[in-house]
Amino acid sequence: MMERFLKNIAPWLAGDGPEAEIVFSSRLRLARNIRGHNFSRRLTSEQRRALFNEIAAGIRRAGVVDEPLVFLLEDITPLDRRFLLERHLISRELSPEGQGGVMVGADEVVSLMINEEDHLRVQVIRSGLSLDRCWAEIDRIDSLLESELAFECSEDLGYLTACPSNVGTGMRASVMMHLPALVLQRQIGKIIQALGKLGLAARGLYGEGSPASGNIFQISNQATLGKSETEIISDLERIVRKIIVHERAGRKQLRDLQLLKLEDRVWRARSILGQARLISSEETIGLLSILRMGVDLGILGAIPRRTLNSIFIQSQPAHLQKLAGSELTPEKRDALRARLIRERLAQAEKEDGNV
Amino acid sequence: MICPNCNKNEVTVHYTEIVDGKMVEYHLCEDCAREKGFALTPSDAMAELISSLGSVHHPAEVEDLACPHCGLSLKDLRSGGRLGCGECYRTFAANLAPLLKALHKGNRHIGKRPAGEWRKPPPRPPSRAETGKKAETRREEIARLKREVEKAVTDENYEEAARLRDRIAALSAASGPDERS
Repeated sequence: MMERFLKNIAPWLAGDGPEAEIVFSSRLRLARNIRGHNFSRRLTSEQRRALFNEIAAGIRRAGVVDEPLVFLLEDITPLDRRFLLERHLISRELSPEGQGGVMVGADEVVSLMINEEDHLRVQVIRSGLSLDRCWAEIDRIDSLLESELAFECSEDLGYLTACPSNVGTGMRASVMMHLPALVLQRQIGKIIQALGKLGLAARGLYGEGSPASGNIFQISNQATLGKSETEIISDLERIVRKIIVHERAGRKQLRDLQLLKLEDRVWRARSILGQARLISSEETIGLLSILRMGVDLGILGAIPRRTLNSIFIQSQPAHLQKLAGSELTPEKRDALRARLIRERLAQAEKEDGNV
Repeated sequence: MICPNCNKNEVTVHYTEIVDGKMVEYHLCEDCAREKGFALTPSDAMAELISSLGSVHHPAEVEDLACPHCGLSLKDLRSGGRLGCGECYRTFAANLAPLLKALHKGNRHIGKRPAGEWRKPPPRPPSRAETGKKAETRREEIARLKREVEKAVTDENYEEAARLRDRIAALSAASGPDERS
């Protein structure tokens, strides 16, 4: 069932949408709990299983996703769990011990996690800076779900969640940005500090605690109470647009003042990715970031963003092992990763040459 | 599930690592996870925040306040950083108020709501002007009751101790968020 995803590039990695040069993707998540039940952690395994079925049935009746695929983490292998995590369809906190599971639309735009710390977490994720579009979709889904499932809500605090940091709208809006120039120019520290003061958080690729590998940052709202959904979104978008302006200015400055140095970096990255026989995922992601900036600045030929994004996601450990159809030792993974990258880049450049 | 490392605390951290090409899963309590150097998730950071804020603002409160619906105690809330059910927001309203204030942009929800019944908010705590004096005496009363609890326990008068604890819990639950003033 999961093999279906392997061939796809999820729409959030299509590399299109507004500001796609700098913004990978936009994501909204709503936290909801079913009225009258304890939150997930204070239920027994049996209660959580029953709740899973109740919520899954509600989601089906609401008809929010066409042909949903359902995965109960207890029933799938650790490798498959890791695969879903790498595709951003589940969170690290969703666990098999907690009877966690997920329903995913075939196009991977919508995913609904059940029995995370909240009973239900709805996610919509799209390519580029598309928060408004995501909101229109998730708002519609939430209203449909509401007709089938009674959500926990209080008059003063809004939607009630297991963690007080989510209470109110229950909404986390986040934008995944590629900021190599701000990192190279050592501006990023200042920006992250400023974001904190503005009530926004900056995290690495896989959320808090994960390193900001590949110069990728997720910027998201902190406050969920006292601001409406649309205010949260417009405040986030306004700041993201400011960061985009800074990143563009930084790139221009690099190109104008240090072109030779920049070209050297980009071509070195291209050479290693094109020639390496063993490469780790950490090295890959760092070099891909430089390569992507090189493409954006016209230093390299036009390797489509789609190709770069597909390498980016498929070179992760679980994806490689799913591609290989078996578990692999780290060394075999590094070899397969190197081969995959060489082939994809060669193919992209051949197609570019034919145009 | 009890942490297999220390056999003491509840497991809250699930971590997967790849060793020699094999997935190795760890299920640990927060303390053991930190000891082993696993990256902490936001939830752990939240638990820290809750426990620090609580102790700063409510020096006089007791740990045996518990939610009538799910049974979560204030101690559980402190250590786990999570509420147990919707009713907990009423039960621990006073304890949560300073935290919500620090985390968010206001203390009232603005935005979408589901149709139907909503939970009623807890009774509004009296304003600071009304409580300035009262909060002081309540704190004193709690301190006195705590001393009496100790004495009752020493005397092995457990019934009396339980009664006093209930009284302390009730007093603490009634105290407003601005008690620190």
